[in-house]
Amino acid sequence: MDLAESGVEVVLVEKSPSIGGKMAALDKNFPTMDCSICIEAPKMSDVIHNPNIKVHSLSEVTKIEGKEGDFEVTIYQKPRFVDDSCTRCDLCVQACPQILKNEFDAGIGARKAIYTPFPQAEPGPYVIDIDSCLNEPPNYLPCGRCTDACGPGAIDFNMKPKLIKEKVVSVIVATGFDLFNASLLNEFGYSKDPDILTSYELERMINAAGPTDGEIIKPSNGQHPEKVLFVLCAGSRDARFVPYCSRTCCMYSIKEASQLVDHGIKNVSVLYMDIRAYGKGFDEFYSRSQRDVRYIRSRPASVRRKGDSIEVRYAKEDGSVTKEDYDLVVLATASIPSKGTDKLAGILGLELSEDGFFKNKQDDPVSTSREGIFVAGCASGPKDIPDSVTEASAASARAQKYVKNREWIAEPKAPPLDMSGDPKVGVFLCDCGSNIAGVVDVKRVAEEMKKVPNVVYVEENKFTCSGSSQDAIAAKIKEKGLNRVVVGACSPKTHGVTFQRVCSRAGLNPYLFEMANVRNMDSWVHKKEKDKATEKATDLVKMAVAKVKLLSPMDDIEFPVIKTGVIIGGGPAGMASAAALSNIGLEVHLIEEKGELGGLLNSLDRVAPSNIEAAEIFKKLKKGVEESNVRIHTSTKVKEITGFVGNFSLKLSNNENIEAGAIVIATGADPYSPTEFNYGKDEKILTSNDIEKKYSRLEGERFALISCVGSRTREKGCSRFCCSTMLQQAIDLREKGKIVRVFYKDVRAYERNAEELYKKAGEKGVQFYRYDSEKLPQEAIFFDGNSVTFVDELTSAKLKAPVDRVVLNVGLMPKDQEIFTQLKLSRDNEGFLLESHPKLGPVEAAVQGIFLAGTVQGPKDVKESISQGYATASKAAKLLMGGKISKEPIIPQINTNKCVKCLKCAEVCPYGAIKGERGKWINLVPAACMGCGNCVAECNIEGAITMPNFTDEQIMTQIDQATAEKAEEKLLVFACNWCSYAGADQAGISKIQYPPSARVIRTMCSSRISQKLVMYAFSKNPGAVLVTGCHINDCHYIDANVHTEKRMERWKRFISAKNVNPDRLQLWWVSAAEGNRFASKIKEMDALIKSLSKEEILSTSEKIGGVVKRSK
Amino acid sequence: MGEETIDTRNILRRAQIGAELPDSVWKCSTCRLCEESCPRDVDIVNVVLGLRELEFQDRKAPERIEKLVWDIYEDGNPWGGKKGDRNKWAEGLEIKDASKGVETLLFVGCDGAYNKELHKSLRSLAEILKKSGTDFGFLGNEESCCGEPVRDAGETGYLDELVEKNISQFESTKARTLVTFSPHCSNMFSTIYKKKGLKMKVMHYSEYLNELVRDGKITINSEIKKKITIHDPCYLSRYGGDSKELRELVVKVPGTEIVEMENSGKNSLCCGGGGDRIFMDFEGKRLSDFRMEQAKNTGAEVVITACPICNMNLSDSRKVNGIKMEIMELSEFLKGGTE
Repeated sequence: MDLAESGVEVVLVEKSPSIGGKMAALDKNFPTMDCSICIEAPKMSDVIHNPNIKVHSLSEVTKIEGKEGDFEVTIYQKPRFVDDSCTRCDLCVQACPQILKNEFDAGIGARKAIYTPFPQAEPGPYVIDIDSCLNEPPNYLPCGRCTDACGPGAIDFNMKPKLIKEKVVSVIVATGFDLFNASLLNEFGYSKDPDILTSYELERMINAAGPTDGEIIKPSNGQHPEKVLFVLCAGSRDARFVPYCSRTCCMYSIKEASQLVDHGIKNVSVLYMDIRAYGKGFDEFYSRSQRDVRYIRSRPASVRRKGDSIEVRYAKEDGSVTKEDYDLVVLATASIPSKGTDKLAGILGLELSEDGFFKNKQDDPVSTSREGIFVAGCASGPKDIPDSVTEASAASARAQKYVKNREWIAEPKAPPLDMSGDPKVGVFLCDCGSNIAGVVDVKRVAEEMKKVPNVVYVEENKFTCSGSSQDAIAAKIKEKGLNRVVVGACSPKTHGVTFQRVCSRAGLNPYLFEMANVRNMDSWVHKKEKDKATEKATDLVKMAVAKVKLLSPMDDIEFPVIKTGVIIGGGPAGMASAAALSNIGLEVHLIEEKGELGGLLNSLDRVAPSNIEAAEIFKKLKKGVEESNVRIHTSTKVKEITGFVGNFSLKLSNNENIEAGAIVIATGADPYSPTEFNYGKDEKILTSNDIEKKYSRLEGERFALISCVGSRTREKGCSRFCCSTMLQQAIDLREKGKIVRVFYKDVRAYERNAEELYKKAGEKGVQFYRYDSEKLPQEAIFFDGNSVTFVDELTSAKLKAPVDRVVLNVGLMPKDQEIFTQLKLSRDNEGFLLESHPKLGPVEAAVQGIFLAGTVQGPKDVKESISQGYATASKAAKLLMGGKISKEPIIPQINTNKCVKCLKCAEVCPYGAIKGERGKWINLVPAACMGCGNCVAECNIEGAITMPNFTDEQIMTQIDQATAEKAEEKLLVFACNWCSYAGADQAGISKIQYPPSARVIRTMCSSRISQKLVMYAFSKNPGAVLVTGCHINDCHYIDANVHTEKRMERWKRFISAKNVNPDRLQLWWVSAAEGNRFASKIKEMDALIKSLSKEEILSTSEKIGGVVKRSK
Repeated sequence: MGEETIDTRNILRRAQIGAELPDSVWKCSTCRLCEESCPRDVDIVNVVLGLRELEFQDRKAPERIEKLVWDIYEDGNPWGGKKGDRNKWAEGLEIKDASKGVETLLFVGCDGAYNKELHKSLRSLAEILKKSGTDFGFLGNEESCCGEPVRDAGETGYLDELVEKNISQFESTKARTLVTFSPHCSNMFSTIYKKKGLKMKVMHYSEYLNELVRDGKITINSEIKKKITIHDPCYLSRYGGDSKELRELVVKVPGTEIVEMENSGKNSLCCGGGGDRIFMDFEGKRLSDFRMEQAKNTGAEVVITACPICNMNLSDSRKVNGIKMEIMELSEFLKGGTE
């Protein structure tokens, strides 16, 4: 997508029938607990529909000729045997007699010989597995059942394999990984017993669309397990099989363990060697899980069947041996190179590393051994989704060096439909497999919808988001002349854009579309109350239909962007970013506060775990910057940044001004300066930074290296890179003949070569002592000037070891910079800059046009910082190359005839987007407006200012629908798009059950809610009204929600004066992650409503002075 | 009944910090099952043997261990038997005196020679060899212990002396192949002895007989209609080989049906006799008790093994636990198949 949106033509070659990779099979992602396919499917849909991308599925590269800038690639495409006329009706599958293991379900589910791997598969047509098909040539017994069943005649057994030739300038290898065959681990019993699973199998089992519909069962008897054991490092970190760390298994196991707890399984245990929760937010996720999940440091000696359960024998840390019975045992199997990696390496002429992955350069992680060919993701070693996504962008940036011509091929658009006349609404209701249809009676909802005026068409889909359903919507728009579309499915936050695009493709203005969130805010959270959930679904869809009827067509606003990028910070991330962006062909400024480039890299000796000299890496990066056209500004500070995406203005300390379209923040982080262990006062206490470059001059013979000083505290998580540093330093000291003792919590040697470093340290005679992971190092280890005293976990003995020098292994602390505030950048819990999405948006800030590279976003090592640097270059190029950006037209319109130019609106605008002079003139600058709607709520004059897509009428009609029946039982909830609506979505994702009385109305910001709307709501006699939004300081519109808070006081006073119980109107902040906080508030409000008498509620309208008028 | 456990990590940590070693250093049966599942490839058994050397030097070895070293020093065997009784098993067999020169030297070993229950097995082996026409002989009463119990005791000084003496005695027979009754002896010969210069080819008798069968020198044709389970000796399965010859030979006997125990091959459970454990009793349940339980669970009638130590231990557990199964040495079983 990065390449395509930068105007590059992309050929995507995929071996399997669908794009999506393993992510599509996962249930949820750690640590955010996002539904995996829900965040991935929109991206898949983007890829398929992007005219710059050509997807060849069932294809493999067989030959490559030429060189960088001019390759010719030969692609062998297997026949699909089903053409594009396939409607995914599934009748062929029902007809097919062949039952086979479904690879997508890790073999625990079945498929037929004709199948689709999963409902959201792209490209959409089904596929025939010809090796298992009865029609396999020579075909003595023709079967033909599927051909007979297929209405459109999409099945064609005469399809032949194709050889496709493509001319390309560069190649990116992203062939992923496979999983280790766990049956090779004799002692763990896999494949000998059905109740011993792999994590991947469990993942499919947890998934509601998986083979068990999300039920966790013991495959041996179909019953629900009560005791489950997870075993980590199944094949990984094992000299017999996979010597490296597979990097993701700790976290996905913690995630799965937590999910099982959520499924009501009380007894969940994990056997681990080290918990490698190294990423952002991982430690927090781990410690949260510790409330319900038991973690034991051990490995099973034997796993075997004993009666109805599995007996697991293991030794505890103190050496005692236990036997425990479990119902299920789940093995976290190692990641190995994907099948065919060696073959592909041969074809592409690439070197493989010892462990069989594509060899990359440690200081240049996306480069391969061949110029012009890059590698991204797990093809070069195991990694998690954000790291893979970062590398993909990094590879995209590097590959663009060879691009000569750019073209943005326009998406084929149907001629615009006539949207005048009465609304003709089409309603599409999604079953989401059993996710919705398992709770909500979708057929009943459909019947109800048919009765609604202006609804001319209603359809139920198994998965409305699937490619074929999307095409069907487009077809129906034309066929039925629909001029409004409502989809009742999941959240508009994940899928709104997908369906808007469907409308566009059909020629319908995308702003004539509305979504009802029937899954996240209904079926997932009211599982036990099916009737109520169906009623609520009907209400929600009716609300959407009511709103859609009032929507008007709008066009996106286009702005020019300044084709210049500024990189702030000249460390490894900044240097990588600047060089790559400049090579893509943009004007680039690199601004560094210090007199020279290099950042923290300059303070390092060698970089762990690769052991490359820091100076070497610096030289290479500097050469990269110098050879490109980057303008370097050293000894320069950025004094002020103003403007917005595409149009930033920077004032530098040398009084120079720069205008830029995109900004990369790469200002780094500071090494932690400890207060622990009397550091700074006792010369025997050093930090890991102090000893860099000084090994040969260090005094003393006996060294104690203490991990996690200042990291993994109650406030701060893991600093990620420091374990590798510590291992490297331990080996370096050992090689100088020192006695080295390492004190650690977990050795988090997650990177490639880091585990090997750990083993090497042990072999070199470095002694490792684990200290209590619940304690801070200074609470567990004591230094008296000559020796350290500690409790050795292995022998439980209190030991004293003579020590000459103590080295405190320190991580990184966030910096505070004025530009962060100027740009309104959000921070994470620890103070590092917050990315737009932890999985899929790792290098983008939530503020458009701002990108994050390196340690400013969180602690990481040099290699990872360089990756992020390249990735930001790709993201900036995507924004700038086209020279223009478009923006949603959700920008208030001022009716100058009615407006009195009091400028109250201008006073509350967080962006100063409204200019004017009191009583004389007023003007709104569209490019500066972000669309919160605060101004609209502030205006007292009816009709003077309106907010498209969120007009008073559109909100009031939703209130009408929500309160049409049994108003007194209903809770009206206003939710802001960014935090509280997302929090409510999250409650759904986490399946937190709450009462079905709530009806949520979405606006962009809580500050859009005006007194008029609140009073209108009360005039309908609802049980209560709840206004929700982001926490103060988290507001996406700077401080707009502060106004909501002030207004709330006023409203409460107002209704109080009218004798309405003020508790019936409340304000509640919920962040996007706080599903629980949302659900518990709904429970509380529901209880409040139930405590009120019906008479009291029904008299509200009268008390506040009758029905508030709706203007027209 | 309790179970003995050995906490290897504790042993290693104590060794690392120079703390007093736990008794468990002497409890290890050197079976190497732990190494089989060690993800770190740690040479655990060699570390344990190394630690035993230190313990022995510090006179911290158990009394029984010190005694057996003296017994070997004085009488050439750890069982306290007289030197002159070593060849008793062979009475009437007229086995060649190897010192006069033979093609193949049969090394009997102390365990077989001094335990009457095993004499039949030894005789069976000799009879099969004779029948095959092999030119073989033995050292009779002049044979001395291979030294494994000495190695396991950690007495390296005396071990060196013993090995050198044995090598020169073996070389004097001019034999080209050295065949042992016990896999413990063959392991000693093919490792420590080889390092000290032993030239001749070393084989356990299961391997040797397998070759003879393959070369057509032994014909197995008598039917034995029995359900059999195989106990793989550690020193055949995990030390170098994979005890495949043992299985190959058993299936060659017509009528046999092999049912495997829960642990077999490389994952076989130890009988508990290696590492000088045969000379020291267990606290609580013995390893051979666990093993016989597994054997019983297969429903087989006969347990076949190919190691005198395993044979002794399993037979003991069979008796103690009243299990109605036959424990049979491979040689004896094969003899039945050749008659």
